[in-house]
Formats: sequence, C-alpha cells, structure tokens
Amino acid sequence: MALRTEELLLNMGPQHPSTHGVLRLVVTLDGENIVDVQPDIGYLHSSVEKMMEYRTYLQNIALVDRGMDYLSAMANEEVWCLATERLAKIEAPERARYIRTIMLELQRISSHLIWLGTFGIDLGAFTAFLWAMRERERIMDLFESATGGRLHHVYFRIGGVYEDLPDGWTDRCATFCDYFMDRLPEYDELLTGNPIFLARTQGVGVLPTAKAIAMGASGPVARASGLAYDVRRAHPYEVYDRLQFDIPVRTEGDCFARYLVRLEEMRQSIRIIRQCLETIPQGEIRAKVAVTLRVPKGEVYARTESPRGDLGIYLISEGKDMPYRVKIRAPAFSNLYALTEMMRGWKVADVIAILGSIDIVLSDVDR
Amino acid sequence: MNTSIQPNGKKSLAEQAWAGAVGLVVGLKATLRTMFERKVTVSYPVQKVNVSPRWHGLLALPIDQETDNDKCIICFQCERVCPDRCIHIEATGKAKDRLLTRFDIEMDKCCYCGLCVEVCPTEAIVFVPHYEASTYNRANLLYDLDDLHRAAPKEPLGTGVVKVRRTR
Amino acid sequence: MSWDLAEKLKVRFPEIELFPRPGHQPGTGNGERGTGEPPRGEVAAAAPPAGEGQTSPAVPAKRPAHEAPPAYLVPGAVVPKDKLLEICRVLATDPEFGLSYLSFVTAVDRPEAGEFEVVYHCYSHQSREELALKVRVPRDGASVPSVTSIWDGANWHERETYDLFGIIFEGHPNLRRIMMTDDWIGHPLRKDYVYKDPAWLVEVAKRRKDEIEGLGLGERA
Repeated sequence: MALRTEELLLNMGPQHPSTHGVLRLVVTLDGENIVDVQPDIGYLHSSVEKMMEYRTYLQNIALVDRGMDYLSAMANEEVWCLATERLAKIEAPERARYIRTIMLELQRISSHLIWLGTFGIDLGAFTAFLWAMRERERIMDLFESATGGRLHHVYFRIGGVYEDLPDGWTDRCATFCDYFMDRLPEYDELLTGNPIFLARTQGVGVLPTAKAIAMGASGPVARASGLAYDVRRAHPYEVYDRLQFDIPVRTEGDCFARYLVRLEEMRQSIRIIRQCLETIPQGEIRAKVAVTLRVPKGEVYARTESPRGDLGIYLISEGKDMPYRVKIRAPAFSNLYALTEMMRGWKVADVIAILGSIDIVLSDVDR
Repeated sequence: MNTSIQPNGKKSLAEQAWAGAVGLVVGLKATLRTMFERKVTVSYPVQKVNVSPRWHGLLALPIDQETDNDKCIICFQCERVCPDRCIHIEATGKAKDRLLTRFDIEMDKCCYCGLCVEVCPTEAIVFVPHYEASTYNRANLLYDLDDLHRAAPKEPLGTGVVKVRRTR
Repeated sequence: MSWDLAEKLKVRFPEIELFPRPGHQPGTGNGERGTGEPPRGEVAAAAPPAGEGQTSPAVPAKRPAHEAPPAYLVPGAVVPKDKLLEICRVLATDPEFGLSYLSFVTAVDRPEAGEFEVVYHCYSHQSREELALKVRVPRDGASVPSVTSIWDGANWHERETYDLFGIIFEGHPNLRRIMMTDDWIGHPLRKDYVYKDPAWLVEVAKRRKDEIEGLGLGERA
C-alpha cells in the first residue's frame, strides 16, 4: 500500500540569519527532499541604477560603494572607474594602477574571509568565523590607514586614486601577507580535513559546467564547475596582465569544490599582492580630471572579476555630467539564479550548505 | 534520490569513527594553540583603539589660530559635490565681505564619502577622528556652525579611559 | 574586443545595422581599430582651456569632447524585432559564433524617440568575444520575444527588465515582478516615472506621524 503524501511549501526567510541577508526561499518539499526552490528577491532593492542617473560621475563612486555589493566596495569602485575611464579616454598613472590592484586583491581576501566564516557557521563550525574575522580585521586596518574607511572607502577616483599610500604601508602590507600565509593552513586543519565538514559539502549541490554557463554563473561558482575563466586573465585590467597567478579550477561542481576554489584564490591573491609590492613604482597617483567630468557620448561595457564573479557595468553617456543609463551586471544575481538547479533533489538540511556555498550578498543581487 | 551524507559511504563504521576522532583532535589542537596566543580584542567602552589619521569620522570646520575663524571662503563647492545633499550653506554680503550665516551638516544623512573634504580649496572642512557620534535623539545629529567649530560629537557616549595603540 | 563577430553576423543577416564603429571610416575597408581614430581622444585628454576659442577665431573651434559623435566601445548590432530569436539562436548554437553565455539583458528608455532599446550582451568563453544586440521597440505596449529558450540565464534578467521598464517578454515562463512588490504601480527605470505613495501608505505615514508627535520627541525625531 502506497503511503499518501503531499508536498509541503516551506518559507525560509526573509528575516533569517542563514539566508545571508533578506532573501526568501520558497522551498517545495516532498518529505525531506527538495522538489523545487524559488528564491524571492528584491527586499533590498534600492534602484541604484536609477539613482546613478541623477548623480555626477564623481558622486557615483560614493554610491556604488554602498549601493552595490557592500562586502567588496573596492571592486565596485573599480568597475565604475574603469567604465568611465574607458569612455572618457582617461589613463590612470602607473602607480595608481598598482595601488588599485593591491586594494582589489586585499578586498578579495577580505570578502572571501567573510564568506569562509559564514559558511563555517552555516555548517556548525563557529571557530572559523571568529578566526576569519580576526584576519579580516587586519585587512580592515590596512584599508583604514590608506583610505580612511573600513567598509566604504571612496578611494578610487576616475583617473587614479584619492591619496597616496601612507608611509610604511607597503611594509605593513607585506607583514600581513606573511602573517596570512601562516594562518591559512589553520583553516585547512579546521575545515578541509574535518569529516563533518566534508560530509556536509562533498558531492552536495552539484552544478554541471554546461548548466553553469547557460545559467550565467560566474566567478568561483563557475570555476568550481570546471569553467576555467577569469576576467583578470581573459580581459586584463589594471596591471593584471604583467602578474603571475594561477586560476584555481575544480571540476566537481559541489560545495566543497567552491570552498577549495575560494581558499586557493586567497593564496593567489597574496601572491599577486607580493608581486605588486615588489614592483610598485613611484610617481603620480592621479590624472587631472575635472570635478564635474563630462564624459563623451557613447556606450561601453567594462567587466571586472569581483570576489563574487563577473561584475560588469554597461554605461551609456549622452555627453552630460551625469550618466544617461547605467546597467550593473551583478554576479550574485546570476549565481543565485543557478541555486534552483543546485538544490533540486537534495535534503532540506542541505539548503543552508548550498546557499552558503554560492556566496551571495543581497545588496548585490537586488541592487 | 541523492542522499547528502555519503562522501565516505564506502568506509566502514569503524573507519568513519576513526576519521571523526582524528578530525576532532586536529581541530582541537588548532583551537588550543590559539588559546595561548595574545588576545586580539579589546573591551570596548573601557578600552578604545586609535583610529588612523585618515579616518572618515565626524566633519568639522576647525578654528584657525591666526584669524580666529574658520577657513571657509563660502565657495559652495562642498554643498554642490555632496552626493546626499546634506550640507546647507547660507551667507550674506558680497564678494570679500561675505559672511557665513549658516553652515549645517545633517550628519544622519552624511555617508562619510569625503568628497567635500576633497573639493575644499582651503582645507576648511576636515575629518576629525571621532567615531562615537551616536545619540538618543535624531535632532542631535544636525551639526550647525558652532558644533562644527567645536569639532566634537554633540553627545559623547563612550567614556573610555584607556587608549589602546594598534600594534600592527 | 573585436568587431569580427559583428561583421560576420552582418554577412549572414544583411538586415541588421552595426553600431557606429570607433575609428572606422566606411571607405577604408576593415581599418584596424585605433589607426583611423578621430581626434576625439586627444580632445578628451587635453580638455582645451575655455579662452582658446576666442583668441584664435581663424582655427575652427575645437568642440568639447562631450559633443563629439557617440563612441561605441562595445561591438554590436541593432537587430529587427522579428529576427531576434533567429539571430540569437544562431549566435548561441552556431560554432562560428559560440556565444553561449548571456551577460545580461536590459533596456534603455529613449522618450524623445518614443522607444525602448532592449540590450542583450552575449559572450563566448572560448574565443573571448563579446557582442551586444539591440532591439528597438515602441514605448507603447513594448514587447519582445523572450530568449529564455536559448539562454536559460535570461530568465531573471528579463523579469527584471519587465519589472523596471514594463517591457513584455513574449513566451517567458514566469513573467512576474522580481524587484518591486507585486502591487507596485509604474516601472521605476522609465525616464518619466514619478514616485507616488499609494493611498494606504499615506494613511499609515500620517498615523505614525501623529503617534510620534504624541510622544513629544520634537519634530526631527
């Protein structure tokens, strides 16, 4: 005799710590198995694209900082400045480009550390969170002494950076690199070899390569699914074309692969920072750009590799001091779309593990 | 249907238990090592950390010792560049005789971007390294000319005694 | 970035119209990018002082950079609406193009022309080529065919464009609002959109204001 069952509709969020912000998941369950997941987004929508049409190019730097992905403000500033510079044909000086690269990689590490900590918490490993915060605090200190801000820096300018690095900053940054490379093996001890962590992540939430491409996934999520693609390598910006670094790629496509990819990316970021610190030249840090810059008419698409993936800005200028239209191609938006594919067929307990592994920031998803 | 707990499905129960025990010991070893390291936290209201000189704290119009007045030349650049439009300036008189009658900053709107500090031609408006601007009343966050001259938070909350220097 | 794919597409579909190409004179064949560059770049870099035009009236006054004709730094083409699906299918599946990755779908409001430009940006991970497609649709009752059958990832992007611009994507599996609430009035990214509080919110705000004033916390509380 067949047991009569019916599907259960479960609401997770929007106010729930494990959804990493205000995200609602409508989960259809058959017993303990997930039949379907529909993410419901938009709770943090602030219409940044509309607001950017009413601000000058300089003011928009302050806006993209907090309006987009707040955990990687430098990456947002970078993509905005890059788009504007390309359209206005402004070249940032050499030193500024090195400083930007260092800052971007520090930001990548700090963003990945937050992810690592929260991913640990999602799976019940609380120590990793505290340790990740401890390491991140050092990066925050570095940011603070160079830019004055810890989370929102407003440091990049169109055609350079605002201020030069303070005295002794490069030494402190090098010290941090050594310190961080000492600490990284601890995470291996704590998480990578942890049988509980392995059981919760290995083979869970697999995203095949073809699906990842078709669904528009990018960044570590796509690289863990076997897509060897990194904007820093494919379309180098700043000084990435003269730096040696590897792009970690895994073919498993599960949560553990995404974890390993991000862990390796942090090592590569340190490698990039060390090379930059060795070769950073002296000189100008900012090209002469008017405060109310009028960008020539035209359209441009600038893409960068943010900690979450392929972050792009499609900028349309009509020759005014404010942009006519800005489209932000948010990486987390497309990555979150692939969530349904990853989750289908897994248990309800895996929802948190899979959601945590794709590293979403709701401010980036909703914009 | 997939099952989630199956990565070491081929192992026997004893092997799994052994792996779990090893993992526990390794993890505990790492945490134990950290236990004997120096503390990285401070007990905040009593101890405070110094912020960097570039810290984006409160805005101020510090008094210049020579002229006994602020350096503002009433050019309205900060008012214009502010993305949140939180600076309000009014002045009387013409040309050289202009007098500042109102310089209000709504600190509750301020996003601490520092663009006003950047565009100021005389470095009249600066950041001061205060970070305890929170108050119980939102009206306290409207800083007028006197408050900006004083360059201190209106309602200081913390009463810390020990300043901790950042060692790194 | 190269315009080869756009040229190839033009050969296959003669009815499409390529974006104006920077530094490309129609007479000079397939001139390399950057060689035939008009002096726009120098003007932008050197930002001539304001007085220059008055002192030497004989020289034709340099136009400021922002008045130059638009520069399209992204290769692309304007395609007719009825050909969109066919072209997209060719782009995504034909190995000659291989643009299997859709970066985004969005729209641009052009009220003076009375039309929307729906922008598709596709990319190939193998050849690292990109191509933007634009479809012009009239503003009233704007609709374009959905490309979700070709690129699965277009699903949410089209929902977002529908939500913020009000463009109907025909054949979309789940065309609902995604960012705004389901009962939202209007489409915020249109240029003529004016926000107006709905009646219930006005009432709630008034009640709340009365409550706060009753507490005597002052007007800014």
